[in-house]
Amino acid sequence: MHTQVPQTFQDLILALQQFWAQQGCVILQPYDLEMGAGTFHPASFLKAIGPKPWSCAYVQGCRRPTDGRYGENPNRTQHYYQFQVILKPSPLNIQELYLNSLIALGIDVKTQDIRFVEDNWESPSLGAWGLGWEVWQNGMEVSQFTYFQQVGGVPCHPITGELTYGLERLAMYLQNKDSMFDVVWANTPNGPVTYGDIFLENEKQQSTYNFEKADTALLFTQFEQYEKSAENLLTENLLLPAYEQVLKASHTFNLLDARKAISVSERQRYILRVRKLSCAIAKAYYDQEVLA
Amino acid sequence: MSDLLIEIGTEELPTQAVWNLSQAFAENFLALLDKTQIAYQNHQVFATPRRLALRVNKVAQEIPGKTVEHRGPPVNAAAPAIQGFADKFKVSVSDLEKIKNDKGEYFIYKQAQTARATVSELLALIEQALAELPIKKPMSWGNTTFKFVRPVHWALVLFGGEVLEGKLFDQKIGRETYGHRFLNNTAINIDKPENYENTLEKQGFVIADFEKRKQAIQKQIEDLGVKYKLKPIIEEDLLNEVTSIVEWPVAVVGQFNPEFLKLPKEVISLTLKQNQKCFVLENDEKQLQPYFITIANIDSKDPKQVISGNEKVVRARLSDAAFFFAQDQKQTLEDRLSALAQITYQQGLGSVFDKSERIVKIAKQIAAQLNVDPELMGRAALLCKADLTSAMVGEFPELQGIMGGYYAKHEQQKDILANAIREHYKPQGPQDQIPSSDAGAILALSDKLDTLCGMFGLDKKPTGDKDPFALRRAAIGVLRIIIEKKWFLNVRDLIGFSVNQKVLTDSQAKDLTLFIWDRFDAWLREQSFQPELFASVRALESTKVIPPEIPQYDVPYDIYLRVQALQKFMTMPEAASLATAHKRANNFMLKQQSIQIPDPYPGLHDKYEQQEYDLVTAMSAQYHAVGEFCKNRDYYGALVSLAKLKPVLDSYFDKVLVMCDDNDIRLNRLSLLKLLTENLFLKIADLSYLVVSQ
Repeated sequence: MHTQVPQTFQDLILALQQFWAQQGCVILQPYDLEMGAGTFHPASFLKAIGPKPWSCAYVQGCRRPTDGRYGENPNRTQHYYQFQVILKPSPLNIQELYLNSLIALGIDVKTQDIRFVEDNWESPSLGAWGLGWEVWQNGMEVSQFTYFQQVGGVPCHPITGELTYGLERLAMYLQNKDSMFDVVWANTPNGPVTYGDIFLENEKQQSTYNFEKADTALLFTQFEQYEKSAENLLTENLLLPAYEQVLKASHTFNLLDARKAISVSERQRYILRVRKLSCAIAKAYYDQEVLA
Repeated sequence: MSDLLIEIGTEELPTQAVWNLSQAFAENFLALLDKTQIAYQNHQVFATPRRLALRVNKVAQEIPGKTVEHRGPPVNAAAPAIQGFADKFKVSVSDLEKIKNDKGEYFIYKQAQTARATVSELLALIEQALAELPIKKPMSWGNTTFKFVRPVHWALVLFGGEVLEGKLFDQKIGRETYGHRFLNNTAINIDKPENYENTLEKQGFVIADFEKRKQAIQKQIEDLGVKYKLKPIIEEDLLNEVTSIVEWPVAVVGQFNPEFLKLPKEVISLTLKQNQKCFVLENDEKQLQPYFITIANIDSKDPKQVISGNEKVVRARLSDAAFFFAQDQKQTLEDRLSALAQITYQQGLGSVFDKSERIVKIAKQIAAQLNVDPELMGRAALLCKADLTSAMVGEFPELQGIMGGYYAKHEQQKDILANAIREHYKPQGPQDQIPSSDAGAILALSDKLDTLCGMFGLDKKPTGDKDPFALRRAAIGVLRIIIEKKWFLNVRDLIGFSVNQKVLTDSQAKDLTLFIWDRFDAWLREQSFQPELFASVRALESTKVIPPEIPQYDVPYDIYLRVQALQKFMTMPEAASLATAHKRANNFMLKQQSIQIPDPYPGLHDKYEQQEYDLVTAMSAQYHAVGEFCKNRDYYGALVSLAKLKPVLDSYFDKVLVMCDDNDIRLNRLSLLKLLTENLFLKIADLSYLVVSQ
């Protein structure tokens, strides 16, 4: 198979979308709320629960306030993109499919040192865990690969396979750049537009907000409110809006964490509060799916 | 007889599982062969990231027949019970036999099991051996209802040249294995078990034998070291880990910017080792050099790409470490104390800052006893945990203490203080050394004592094999430090420093003391001291013979010196006589418990025997010497002096009747023996505990 290396960040996304569309995945769009990882998207978290098959792929913007470096670190930012693939049930050839996707991106697997290195995944706030690997290419982690075993406290059956590509890192490799900010996003008639053109200023300002300016008193209040409304919505059996409140609470917690406003001993309690809600929603969602 | 080959092909296994599960599978399966009475000659285990395999050589084709005896009801049981027993084996009552023993007469049925073909049992045995594997986190995949360590892709079982019929993990058993994921990921037929590893290596680019692969990696690393004229640091755990993640190892050398060598050596090593599984290299002066060796899992078409990719990641990792290092140095250790107050050490024992303050108090008191500046010790103790709030320790928890040492030096704290902080987690295990500096040792001692006292105060002492707070290690650390430093500190004082802080009660302190003696005992045994030596010295506490103004019985270093002297003494021929004498003396005195034996010894009675006279004379001759030796803690010297009593003791016990009828003479003789034990033997140890082969 002759393949052409995607020259730009947007080509990379298009190539992955095309590849996974051909494998029968529903190509979704990013969820419009802040989240720490593509796994929080309801198309992963909720769809992994219950017996129904489901395959999808999407780009998700991720926000991790504590990872902000004011745009000064070449590969660490508080906002970045994941390309997420969900295959339920996980096919036996899932690793092969993944490697084919790398080949489709023009990566020569007989030249590159590709490795599946044990890395089990756990999200305490989602009450979820799975087993799998981080995928290394020449020592660099380019993807995460997980077989979900439990989601929202509910054991999975069938098992969902989750593939997560770190788009910036893949693009850095494909374009041979040392900094993600130098990655070419698109070539336009007005010249190349880089990742830095689009996001460097955002990194500076958002890092300042996350670490220095975020109003912690307000955030504490908001956390309480999101938690309360999630609880209320749960009693109304409005699971999807309830889950969105959990996403907001989770991000609020992450901001408080970046501001170091939560002591180490309290930190665990906050995580458990989010977990309690995720698990309640997951349980109710499971009941709906099985009864439906 | 035929060879048997079993291979389970999986997706990439967890690192630990490669070795552990392949060994466990072999153990399980061979045990089942033994139990089933299937004979075999020997076996070989194979393990790679994508396969667990076992070859058993010369397995018998047939399981021999045998007779199994089943016991039934008594002969006088009700008819239906007897009939029921016969029905169980589908035979008539007349086929049963009778057996008589001391409890009565019973029906038995002798069931003949005919010889069976081994092949008929194999699948069940393999399934059972797999089902009993110690998998830490078993997983499901796809729609499977069974679980295993990772998804299974193929199952190969050959008995002789034949494929075993059946399925394992839903995979039809065949003779196909698969080669390296990228170098030859096609089905490769194995014609017979003996050709397994050679076929895999030649056609599949897989070295199936773990040890062989490990040696190949080691050799490649060493060869590169020679080529670059540098010394690669090959740690066993990293070598094992790397062996577990490659099937076709190819070592390559990468470089990093020498600017990074400004980072602490430990940071560079750990970053490369833990995050990238790379080996570091040193020059002859043991200085790190800007090179690393990584083990690729592929004979790449273009190794330069593999190297430059790895260099890029290493650069990013070291940049991150440099960022942490620079950030951390913007705050002093003292600045960090307020953050330390936010970290809970343990529910009931306050924050890590609270712990630091307790360590300050303990360290100051120990320092005062050892003529070390208490103020300096207090300062070191206050700051010793501050690095726990640093970004670097957040990233690499195993650098705790070490980073504190660097940061203390950076902020121009005294070297002695920086070193004390650096060393205070030592010794971290039996292989690790104790802190080299006195200040470091005092700090380590104080920290461990606070941990022990705190946890015993919460009644969280270790039970069975559960020791979540590593208290056993802490106790042995305490003992090793004071013994190796030759400090005459007593356990009572050390624990007392914490009792005064009300961390533990008197009865908990007593528990802790016993715990420490237990660990001392166990530790001495590990050092190959005979177990009774420690007991013979510990027995001194209850005899209270040692004058109370110098209570040595709870000074670990003094106990250690006595045990050491006894060990040496035990090789002397006189040891047996002295131990026997002590035992006999004890026995006589025990018999006379109801009577008060005169104390002090009143002197020889009128009708004394020659041997009594000789003993008294010999005892007085050695009394002074033994005392002097003990004062100088030369316990071996004291024992050698005592050894001189052997001839007189031997003839005394041979000729003199201690328990004679004359009450006065008996008491006089007992009094002499009391003098012998209390004034001489017990100055060193209770020699009656010694086990001496005659």
